[in-house]
Amino acid sequence: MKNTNAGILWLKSHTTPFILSIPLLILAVLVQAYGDTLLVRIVTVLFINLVMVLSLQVFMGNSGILNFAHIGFMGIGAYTSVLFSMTPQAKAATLPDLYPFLRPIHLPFLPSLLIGAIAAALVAALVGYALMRLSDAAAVITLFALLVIIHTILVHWSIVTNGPRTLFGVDNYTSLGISTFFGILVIFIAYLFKETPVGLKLRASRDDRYAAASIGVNIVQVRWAGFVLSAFLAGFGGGLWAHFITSFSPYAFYLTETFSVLSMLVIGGTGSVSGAVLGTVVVTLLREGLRAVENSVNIAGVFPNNLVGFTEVVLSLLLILILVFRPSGLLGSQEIRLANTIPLASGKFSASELSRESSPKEGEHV
Amino acid sequence: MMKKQLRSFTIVVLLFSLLLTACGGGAATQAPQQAAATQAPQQGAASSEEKIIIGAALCLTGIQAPLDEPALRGAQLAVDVINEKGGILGKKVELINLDGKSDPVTVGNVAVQLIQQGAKAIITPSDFDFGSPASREAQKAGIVGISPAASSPLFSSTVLGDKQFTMSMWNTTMGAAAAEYAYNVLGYRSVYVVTDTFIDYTKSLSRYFIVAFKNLGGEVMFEDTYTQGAQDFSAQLARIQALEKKPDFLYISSYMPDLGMIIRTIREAGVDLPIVGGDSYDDPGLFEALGAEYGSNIYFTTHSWVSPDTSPEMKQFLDYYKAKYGGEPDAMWVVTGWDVVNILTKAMEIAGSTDGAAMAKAMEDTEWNLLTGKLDWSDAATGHESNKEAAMVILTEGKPSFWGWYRPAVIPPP
Repeated sequence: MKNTNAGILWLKSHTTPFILSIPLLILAVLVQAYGDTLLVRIVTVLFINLVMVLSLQVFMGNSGILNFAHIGFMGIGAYTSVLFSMTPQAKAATLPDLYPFLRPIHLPFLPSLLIGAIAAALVAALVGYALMRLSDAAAVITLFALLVIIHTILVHWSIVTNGPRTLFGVDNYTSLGISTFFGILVIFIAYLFKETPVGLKLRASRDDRYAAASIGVNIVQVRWAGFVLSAFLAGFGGGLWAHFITSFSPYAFYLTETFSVLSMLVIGGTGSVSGAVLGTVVVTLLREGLRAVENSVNIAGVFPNNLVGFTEVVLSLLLILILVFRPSGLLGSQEIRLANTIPLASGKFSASELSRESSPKEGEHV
Repeated sequence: MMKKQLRSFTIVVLLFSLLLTACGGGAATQAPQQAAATQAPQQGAASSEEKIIIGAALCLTGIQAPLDEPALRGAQLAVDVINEKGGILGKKVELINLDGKSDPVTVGNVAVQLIQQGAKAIITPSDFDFGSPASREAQKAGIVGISPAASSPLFSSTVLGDKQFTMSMWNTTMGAAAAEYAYNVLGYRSVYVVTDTFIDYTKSLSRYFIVAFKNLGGEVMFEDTYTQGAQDFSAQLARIQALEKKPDFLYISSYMPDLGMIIRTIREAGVDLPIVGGDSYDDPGLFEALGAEYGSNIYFTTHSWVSPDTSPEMKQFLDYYKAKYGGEPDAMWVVTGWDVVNILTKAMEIAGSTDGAAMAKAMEDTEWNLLTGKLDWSDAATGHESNKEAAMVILTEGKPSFWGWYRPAVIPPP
């Protein structure tokens, strides 16, 4: 009994991932049931982006270090998962010089995704430990250098990546259902990580690394843990994207994608999982909405010349406006949670306030 | 604190509901179009439809725009001219372009949208990475997809499906044409090859050139590399100068902006060997960068020669272009857009319908005589390989001149 009560109490103070995922789940179900091909595609990509933005948040949001290397891990996940999921015939066509031991391997989709994510995590684990000793600008620049290194390796390791050429023949496994599942899974993982002891220590190191170190937080270790988890999840994102688009080159995992994912996170607010989710949804919504406006204006011929680049210009302006008025993103570092379930541990509210706001009797019956 | 949280919660709820309504609205408005699209084939026979829609997913913004935007202008011009002459199958043609934004996902989305709006064929961006998502959607919908100028051998029916085409010669043809022209016409026997390893285009072009030149019996003295952006060609130049026996010519597979610097470096050092290259040389920026001093003894294979004296058809095209846009086409890609629309509409006429399979068959069976050269596609089983003439252009004192069309006898396998 005591255990179930504790469970309910815990759930009541951690409603965030549920509040975030339920509307997304409803959206996915509605689109699956009633949407056309285009909507299904847009929402599938929305969830893949969600995986990328949330995995970036896991490290960047909790450690406060701007992570430019993130999309590199997406690339590693994409290429590795594809090597395992492609049929031997497709591999012979697209990667004729592939190492013989990789040629006959043909795994189902999900194990391939997992292997891709593990590969990304392994690379992050190997190179990350030394990098995690750096803070501030030095960390940002070295992580950017890491992105360049990963990109250069992808471009030149022709035997497994087909070099700068496009890798093709990947099967289209990433359905709306799959991407929804991973998007929502990562919401929970990202939220739970924040609340784990490691996540708390990592956040402490973000807010004041000297104070955190003085109370015994091993900053390098907690950063490293966050970095590896972030790369692991990015590996999933890469695998999902690869099996959605089905042909890609290393240029897909470089600066354009980096800034796209980064802007979604910064718009929503780096400090919170809710911010990451909101940023992804808002940017996707704005981009598709503006694109629809641009296209209908052009088809209707409202202006003598086509409105070219309308989406990009207006989207950028809106993003600037959002950041002018909310510099730490739409949500900053706040999580969305039900108002009556503020954890007691926050200690900022008087007992009377709490009793006024909460309705514990109802909660117990749930 | 509490108020802030409530406020942000409200914002989120509002946004989610907005998303749901936006999507709902989208679905509602698109539903009738979809219905129209599915009914179209039955109505088509009775010609109750007023127009034939050709969809284009060409990119007007981003890195792909310099190729796609001129192609769209050429395509629109072709549609205007066809409609002036009374249209196709008794109907007017309408060209709808939705900006693909140089993003593979958007290009795919745009193709889906165009198909929902009833497009009977899709013009895809001129590159495999950006063009193939649109072709895949066209293939799924059973309609023809065609890229005006994607030269990757991947742009084939074996990779994309039996209704997908590229109008460009593949890099196999482009490389082989240069090799055979150099060997047979210019009489050269040995070559020093420099390959820009930065992108696939330059790498594969060199590869096919080398295969073709060796097949002819030519000698490839050395395969050197360069990387776009390095801005330093001195090491390669030193190797060329150190050769005891000079090669007959240099094959340099690179592109602007560095290509200009490479050729200047070579010429400034007093090396006046002939230089041969691919369609990336077809750039007024290169001619200017080299000028009269360095821009001589250079040969390249490209897609077309845009000048009134090439052919009466080209003169007529230029007149139409001047009437609509005023002036001369600023890029050769305009011509590829014009050709693509003419192929699609002629295929509809030959097929007698806008059915995808019938159009694809008409495209395979016809020997096309285009502003970008004669073209003959192989059948779907052999990949829709485009057996096409290459335009040979000679650069002398910074001025390009047209040598003629050249069709290689043997095309290396992709």
